[in-house]
Amino acid sequence: MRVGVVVAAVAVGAAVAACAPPEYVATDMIEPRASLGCVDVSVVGAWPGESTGPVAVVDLGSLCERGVAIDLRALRAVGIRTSDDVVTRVPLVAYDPHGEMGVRTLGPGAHGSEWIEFHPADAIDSIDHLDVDAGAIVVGELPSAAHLVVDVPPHHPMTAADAR
Amino acid sequence: MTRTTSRAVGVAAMAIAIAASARVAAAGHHCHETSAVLGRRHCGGFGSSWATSALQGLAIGFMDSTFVAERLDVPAHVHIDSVETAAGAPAGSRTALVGDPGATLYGFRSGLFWRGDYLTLAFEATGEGGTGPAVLSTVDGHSVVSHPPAISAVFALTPGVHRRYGRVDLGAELAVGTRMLDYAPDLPAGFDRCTQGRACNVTVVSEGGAVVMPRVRVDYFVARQLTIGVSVGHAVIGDGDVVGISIAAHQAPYDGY
Repeated sequence: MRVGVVVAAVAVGAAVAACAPPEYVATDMIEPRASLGCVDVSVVGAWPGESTGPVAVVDLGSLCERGVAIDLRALRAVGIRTSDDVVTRVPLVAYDPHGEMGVRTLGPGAHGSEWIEFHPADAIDSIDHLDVDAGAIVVGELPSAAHLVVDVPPHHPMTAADAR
Repeated sequence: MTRTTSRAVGVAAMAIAIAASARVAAAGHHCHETSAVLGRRHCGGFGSSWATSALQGLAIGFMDSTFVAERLDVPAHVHIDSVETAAGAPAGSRTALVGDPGATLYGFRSGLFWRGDYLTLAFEATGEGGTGPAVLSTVDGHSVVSHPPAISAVFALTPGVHRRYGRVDLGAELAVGTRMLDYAPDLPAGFDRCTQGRACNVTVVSEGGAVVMPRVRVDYFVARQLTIGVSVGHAVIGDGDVVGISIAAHQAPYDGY
């Protein structure tokens, strides 16, 4: 019985350890990216069918030896639209209907992404680029310029068939 | 295996099973995700894919193992037991400690552990064995002195605090629980205490009582997800001075903090 318990416990421990995500390494992150001390951040533009505004896929990776407090409410985003050589910049606000955004800890070696939808103050039908300033998301650090400008793919609104 | 050891193994296995089932339940929770976008997804909340989760601080069973050596004084109670003569006639035995009541036991501590940013909590089971103190057993004017084998099982809830400085983690914790101590002194020749049909010439003494033991510990991260550590404790209620050497695997580097 003792051997069985030992084997079972080791198996459970190994299974739990195996569930842990792999540690972040700098090569995991695509460009453009910015380094905020030991925190790497990159942004990819998207506009999924279910969203009514462009989405910034904010990728975070930690090279730190200690947890870092991250506040994504400090992201500043501007939509850029180019039409007939006229560049229009539209301030955007994050879509957070349930008030979930807040300060969270990015653990040592942690890596993951948050998909944040942005809405303009006035309705617009397209945005060509997103300019996301992530320079102030590390709590307790002095803000630095970290502008990440990315393309936004065309929007294809979700249809009833897609929803099914 | 003795009754006490079986109990200790059973409780440890139960703790492992509870923790494992909680983990499986969390991982296997069926939620049909319709979107990855914050505010439009049904499953994981904000930060669920990148922020530190309290579950990352869990360690189960052999993920956090401590080898312990404990010096304790066996309570000097006199025990009366019913035994039999070789002819099967009932007799009464009287068992009492003689000399130094101290015993040194060696064993293993494990259970279910959680480590947060600054707080820790554990439900731990400790099983130890060794040689007990000298015991004098007397039956019908016949006496014998023996150093019986002793087994201790301690079950404790252990809150604590800790703080990491680089790779060194300092902690203080308070184990609050109960100890069961069994030892089996020899009976004089010609007398038996038959248990479950087995002939034996020992009697069994069981002691139980509360244990409250402050401990301090130092752990060193030899890797970001692996610590070795040393802990020492002294019981302020009950008895025991314990030294432990630990090895622990962590789900996340530095438990995510």
